[in-house]
Amino acid sequence: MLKRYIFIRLLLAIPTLIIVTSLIFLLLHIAPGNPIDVLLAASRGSREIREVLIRQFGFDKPWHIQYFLWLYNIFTGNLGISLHGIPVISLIASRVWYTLELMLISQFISVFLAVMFGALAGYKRGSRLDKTLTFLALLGYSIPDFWLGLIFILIFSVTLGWFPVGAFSLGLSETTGITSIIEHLRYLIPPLTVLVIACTPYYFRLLRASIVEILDADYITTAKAKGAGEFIVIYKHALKNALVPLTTAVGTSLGLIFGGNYIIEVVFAWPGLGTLLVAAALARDYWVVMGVSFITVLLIIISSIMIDIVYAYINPKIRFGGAEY
Amino acid sequence: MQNISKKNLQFFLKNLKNSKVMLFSSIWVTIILIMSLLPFLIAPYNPNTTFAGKSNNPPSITFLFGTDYVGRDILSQVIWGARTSFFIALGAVIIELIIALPVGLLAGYFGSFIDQLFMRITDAMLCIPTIVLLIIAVTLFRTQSEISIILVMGLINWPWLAKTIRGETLRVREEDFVIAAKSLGFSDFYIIRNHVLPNIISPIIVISTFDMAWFILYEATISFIGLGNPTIPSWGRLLYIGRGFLATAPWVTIFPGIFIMLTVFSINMLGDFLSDVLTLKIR
Repeated sequence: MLKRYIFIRLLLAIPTLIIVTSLIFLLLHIAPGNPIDVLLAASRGSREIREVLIRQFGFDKPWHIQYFLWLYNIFTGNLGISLHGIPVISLIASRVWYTLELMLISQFISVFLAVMFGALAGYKRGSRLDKTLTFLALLGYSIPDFWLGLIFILIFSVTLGWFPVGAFSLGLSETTGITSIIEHLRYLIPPLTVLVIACTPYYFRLLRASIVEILDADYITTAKAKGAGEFIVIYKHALKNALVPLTTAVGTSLGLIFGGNYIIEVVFAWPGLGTLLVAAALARDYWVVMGVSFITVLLIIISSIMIDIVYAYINPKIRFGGAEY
Repeated sequence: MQNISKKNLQFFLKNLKNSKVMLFSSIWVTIILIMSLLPFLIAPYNPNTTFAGKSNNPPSITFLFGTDYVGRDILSQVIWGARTSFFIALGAVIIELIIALPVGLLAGYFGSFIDQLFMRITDAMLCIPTIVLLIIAVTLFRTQSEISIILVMGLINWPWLAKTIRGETLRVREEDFVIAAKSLGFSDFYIIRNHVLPNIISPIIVISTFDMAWFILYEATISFIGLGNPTIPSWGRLLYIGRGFLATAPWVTIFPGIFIMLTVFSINMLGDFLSDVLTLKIR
């Protein structure tokens, strides 16, 4: 049943991918100016070179042909080439792990912290602890994450000098073994911390609200009446049910999570897809922008399928039947 | 109607007395509103005036928030920036309402094909990170003007609003008074205007309020990446400038950020309050 469900979800993803990529392609196409001109403006290339390049990148064909060629090439694993002649797929391959590393670790820590503190605040609702945590969450919720990144750099990198200020060099690290891991961590921790601070309040608010609601439910009273300890009541009975809305929230805010991740990458010059996208958009590198957008949407769809599976796992009321979707 | 608004006002005042956070938020939003309407009266200097030999001055009595790298007063820029943020956010909300309102109402009211088509598009849009689309759109159009930022933000964000409007319309459509109006032979347009719209206005107001906060954040993000209009003072623009002088002039970064944070915070608080008052009514 599960295999069938995943198969159908992947099939349904195809029209979504086509709508999204054609929308972005249309945006790229109606924008004034030509990427080749941007490229040649720097080197003052001749008219002939311009013609050759335009043909080489396929910009001489009508736009709908360009799009269908691009779409066709995806199936052969070819996402086009960048203006600097590097295949887009290898550009993405060298960046995607950095993005995923940052995102997965930060989401994992955020959900963990939100569950810990959310359950605690919800259980002790109205207490000073609850009020403090709720206020902090509200404040954290309103801080622009990129500003938080700047403040982090200001305090910990510039003033205290704990973390490096510059960009993480991609694959150029000469050190190996344990030193390279430490070096990697020194670059990873700043953006990671900022993302955790940015995401946790959102999940915390949700979890606290659902815990408060659930603690009034009959089965909690029953569990208490049966003499279950506080810890068991919160972390076994209540939490299991409170995780359902949290999972939904993660699923519906994937776009926000990816977007926030990309911006933080830019702030800390972390070599992920976000920095690649912004640089490519500024240089009008059509195929790189298309490729990164495509991979982003694909990643979001895959994550949402995985979240649905987790959802079914923690919420036994939902089963992968045949007709619901 | 008058009775209800009087009751709302009493509820609001009671809330103000009970919650210091609520009191703060109301005052802060009022300050920001005054700043954005009358910046020329409040700002100590012209935000674009460069003071020779005063570049990157730390906060002092003459320049309360310090100066930037060309010697412009940060406080004056922050005050004028409130105007930029506020009007861009308001403009984007208006654009998104212009699109989302008819689409959501029609999809929810008539259902069937329009609804299906619209839901597919919305689901697809939900998959694109808004900020990614914003970066692409703003860079490609070399927009650098407030109007295009407003348009792009409104055009990108409307599906979310439309989704809510559709859901609310679906709910109201099944109510007795709509069915009664239909059986009395009133036209669809009349029913939508006089029966559906007044009943879904509350969630629309609440969402628009929260969207104001989002748009202020988005505008700041766009300007921060360096895609804003360089000739207009804006909070995000200041952060963009400040980023290059983090070590030598941190005040350029600190003050505008605090303003963004407090404004977004206060608007969210007001949104929470509005949703308590409008959607749950007063118990």
